[in-house]
Amino acid sequence: MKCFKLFRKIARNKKGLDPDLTDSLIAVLFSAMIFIFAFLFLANTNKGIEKSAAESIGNLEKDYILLNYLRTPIQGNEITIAEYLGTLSIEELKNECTKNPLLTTKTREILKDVRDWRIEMYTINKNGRESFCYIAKGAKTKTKKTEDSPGVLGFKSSELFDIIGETVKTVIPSNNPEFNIEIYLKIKG
Amino acid sequence: MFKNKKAAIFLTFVSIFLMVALLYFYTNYGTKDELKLKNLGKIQLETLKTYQQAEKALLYIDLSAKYSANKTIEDLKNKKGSFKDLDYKPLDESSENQEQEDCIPTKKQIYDAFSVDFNKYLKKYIEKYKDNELKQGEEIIIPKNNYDLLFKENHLIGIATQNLKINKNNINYSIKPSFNIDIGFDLFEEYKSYFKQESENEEKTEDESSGEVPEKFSTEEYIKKGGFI
Repeated sequence: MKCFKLFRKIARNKKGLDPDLTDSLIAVLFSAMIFIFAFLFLANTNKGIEKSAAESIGNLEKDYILLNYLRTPIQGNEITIAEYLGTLSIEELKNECTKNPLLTTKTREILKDVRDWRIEMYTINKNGRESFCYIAKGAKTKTKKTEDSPGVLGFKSSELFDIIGETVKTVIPSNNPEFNIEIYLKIKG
Repeated sequence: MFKNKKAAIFLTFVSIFLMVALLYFYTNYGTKDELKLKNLGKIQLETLKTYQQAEKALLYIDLSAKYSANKTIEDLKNKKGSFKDLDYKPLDESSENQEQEDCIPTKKQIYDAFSVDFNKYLKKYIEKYKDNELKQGEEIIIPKNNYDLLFKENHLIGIATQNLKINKNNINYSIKPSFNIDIGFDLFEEYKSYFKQESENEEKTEDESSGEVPEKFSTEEYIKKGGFI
């Protein structure tokens, strides 16, 4: 009741209303400012959501690309890349990228439409993981050569995958049940 | 307006209230778990990711089945594993007849021996499968000894009896991990070829005595032969 009386008093009090409507104009400007700030804030958060969603979808696409890569026939229509890798012994796998151009050529051919990418392959057995193959395309694929590299070709694997995008990986079996093969794929954009 | 004290007080309170409300809004928006920006669509994306994880496991099972079938056939040729106890005799073409069911070995015995060895090898492969992308508390269950086998035109069809399961906090995904793979041979034809090979081996031993070196298969030959030596 007291509030109601106070509002009535303010409304009747002509002194409160400036002749040139300054109060009203300030109120309108103030509201406009609040609206603009809120609008900008919400627009910014929308961008954040879009970016986050695009990133996640991009990672799902990488999984598709990796699976399709492994299911692609390597020679004619005889065997797929996954089967081809599975038939090789550890020694043969170590020579696969350095001495035999078949896998490297085929990989570049399959991923020719992708801008920057990197594939690294490991053998995993009871003694641990060992990198045996590294194939890459793109300007940012030049990496430091390190002496304490655990893998082949003088590249330190942890450095390779710190450069672009999120990594996707999968495990495939080898014909020799003593070890499995782990394949990592990294794609930019 | 500023000369009018009543209006000034009213506007000041409104302004302070708005400032506090706006500050509260900006600082709290997006901090609660269910409202976090990154969590928007998270469950949907996690579901799609789960499909991918299952696809990777299915690829692993397909390849493992192929290698297991090869190893089982090697067992057959070398009389190892479950084939060790089989009485190796030429299979009669008409052994499917009821009258011939008693002949040793029957097709069923060969099939059973194959199934036992195949499942043994496949189990070894499956035990080694690890999905490192699963977080703590999440699991993938690939059932072992899970397949009824069927041979059809050089294809091995494995019909799964139990489902492959991926359990996550909000997602319980389940799929039948059956497979249909081209193994490049028919089990019973391979069994028959064993006896041809035996007679060839006998001929080879005769040749070896005349100084011929037996051929060794390489990976290139493996590819040329369609993946199977």
